[in-house]
Amino acid sequence: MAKQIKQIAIYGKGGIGKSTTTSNLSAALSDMGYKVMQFGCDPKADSTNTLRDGTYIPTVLDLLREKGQVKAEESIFQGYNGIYCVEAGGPAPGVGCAGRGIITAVQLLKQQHVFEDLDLDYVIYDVLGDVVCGGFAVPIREGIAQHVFTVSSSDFMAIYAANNLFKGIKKYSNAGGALLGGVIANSVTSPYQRSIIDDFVEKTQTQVMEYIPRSITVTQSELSGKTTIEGAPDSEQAKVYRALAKRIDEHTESKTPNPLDSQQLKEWAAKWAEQIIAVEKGEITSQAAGI
Amino acid sequence: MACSEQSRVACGIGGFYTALAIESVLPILHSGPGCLFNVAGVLALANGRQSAITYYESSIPSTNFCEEDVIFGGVERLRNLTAKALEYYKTDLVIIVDGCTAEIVGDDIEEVANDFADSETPVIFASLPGFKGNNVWGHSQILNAIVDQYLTKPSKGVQKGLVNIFGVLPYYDPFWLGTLEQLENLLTDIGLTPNIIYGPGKGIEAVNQIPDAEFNLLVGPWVDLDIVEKLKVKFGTPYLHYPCVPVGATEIAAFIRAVSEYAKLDSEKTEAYIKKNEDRYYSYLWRFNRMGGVMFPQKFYVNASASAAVSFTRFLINDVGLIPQKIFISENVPEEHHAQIEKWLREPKYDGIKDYEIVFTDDGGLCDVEIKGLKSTDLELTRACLFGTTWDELTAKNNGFPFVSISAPYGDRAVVNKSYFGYDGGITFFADLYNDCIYKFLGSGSVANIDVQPEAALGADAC
Repeated sequence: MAKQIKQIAIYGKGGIGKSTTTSNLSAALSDMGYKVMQFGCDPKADSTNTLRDGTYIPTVLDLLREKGQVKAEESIFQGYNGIYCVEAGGPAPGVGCAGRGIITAVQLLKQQHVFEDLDLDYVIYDVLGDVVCGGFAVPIREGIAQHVFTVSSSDFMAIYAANNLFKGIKKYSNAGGALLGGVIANSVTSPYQRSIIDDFVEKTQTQVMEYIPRSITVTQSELSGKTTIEGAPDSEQAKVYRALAKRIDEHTESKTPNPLDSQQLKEWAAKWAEQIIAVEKGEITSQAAGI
Repeated sequence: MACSEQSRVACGIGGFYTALAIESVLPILHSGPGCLFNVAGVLALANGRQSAITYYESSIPSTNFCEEDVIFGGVERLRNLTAKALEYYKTDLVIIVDGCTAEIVGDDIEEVANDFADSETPVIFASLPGFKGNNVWGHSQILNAIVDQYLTKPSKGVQKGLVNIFGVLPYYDPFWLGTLEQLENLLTDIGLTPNIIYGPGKGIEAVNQIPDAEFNLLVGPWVDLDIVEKLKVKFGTPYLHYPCVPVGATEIAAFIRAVSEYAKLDSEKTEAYIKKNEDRYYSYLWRFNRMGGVMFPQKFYVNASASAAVSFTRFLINDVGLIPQKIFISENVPEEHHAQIEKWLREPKYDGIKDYEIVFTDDGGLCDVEIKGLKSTDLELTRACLFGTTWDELTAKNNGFPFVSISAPYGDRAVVNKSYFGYDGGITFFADLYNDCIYKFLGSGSVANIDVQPEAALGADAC
């Protein structure tokens, strides 16, 4: 019997740290002995950079544009520890339809049975920000991924994007779509940020997979074109990513989330805004007292 | 928009047929492969076996927008296609049009058209995505593009007696060519100089003359009203709005008097013209009336475009003396025009017949549902006539109702230069209706039946 490939999609607001988290997750899973493919689904095509010493690879859509037809293997490049790297790519800014580009790229690899041929254990899709149109819902919608994780900070806009994603997952949950594994809490440095995310996952009936603190180690590694796992393998931050990888590796059952509707989300955010202001005021008072 | 069946329109990109109706104007399609021939089916092939005038359908340039263009945008291919079209085609004006997919992915056809601003042949553009409207809307987009982008110079001076003709929608109105020819003859006869942009021998010279007209003549309830209003603002050209293409003696006389009065023509000459033609018209009808045979059923239904519905309902009441039951107007007419169209439908010269329903819809199948089963055991005379499209021909056949095709899709019989315009048109309509009554009531071509059953016929004789 063919082995079950675990396919995961990582979503989240643009700039929230999806590609950083995904690349470190891929690297950590690879270190655990798994055969991993990372599939960047973002027209920027920079998801896999840190797995390949900061270099860009030709995207599926670049190849399609040049040749008209693409053999899947032409779009697959190996990076750190043999990780297979693919970038869907997209049209030039301001023209064409990026969503359709993602659909085409994903279907191209799916149709050519690449995942099976490469004997993969993990395929991790790193998908652009919000689920703005049907194209970006493809990894969820067609059940290409079994588990979706969303990267979110405690920032309201990141949570708004996460909630939108939950709506997308819920919509397709009865039609064989992917289900939600949980939230990867990124850039969490203070207790109240943690509380915000904890409250959000409780309200939406999901879970936090790992709390990842903001760290200069990540920035340093990325500046040298590497993941933290590769660039600073002994750092505390690398341990956090390994813990995340272990948690995801052990994760088996995803669920349908319970997204908040617009009014609920607004009220929820307003409640937290009041508390944050109170906290900020408290900090100012104590700092002033210290002078 | 409701769910529709039996569509009587093509999608928005069907507007390119208006470009094709103007001699040597070349549309370039930035749309999916198949868009062109889908439209051709409704507006040309199944609409009286029409085909394009200067450029045959299969020779019209199209980018055949496919998945690659969806992803990356297709403007580069459109740019190349336009450059090549300008090189290979002898044309006076190029109109780039696009369809749904190009519009959804945001392809900028205006930018492409602007790239050819220095071209010897003018290149303009019109967005025609089907999700925004049907071919009647598309037609308006094309004419608006011509007025906005091509007719950019002010009038060279008003030419006395020059009249632009609007309101007859080329191709979609299956009789457009015959109607325009006869309208041109009529206006010339009464002393005007008609300027018609559609059809053979017209083309860009006629388009260029549009700003110089003394007035614009709109014949139809609502199509092109936006154009004559725009021309009034842009060139100061006044317009006369006559509600329909006149069919039969009553309407055409009213039409001639209205035009004559508006253009301040010699009323004596006008009346002499009407008298002469009415004498001829009624002499034919008198001859026809003395033939005997079957009589027309007295009730009628119409399921057609607003233009055809107004023209034929008024004719059928005024000249044929039939009683309207329900009028279905099935090209999704914008609501702002409904009240005026109703008014025109209820003001025939010989009134007293105002109590009938008028339905504005885009669901051509409503009429079929309404009249299905009306046949029952009615006598022939208490049956109804049905006037509509080839779709309604089936309904009429099933009900045993006499039928005449008056609107798109006309059917796959050749329409060539046929028209029901004016005096001759009225006479032709009487004949067509009579012939179908004979067919429906007595069985078509009893002579032909004898021909195919010679033995049976001989046998009968032997008895």
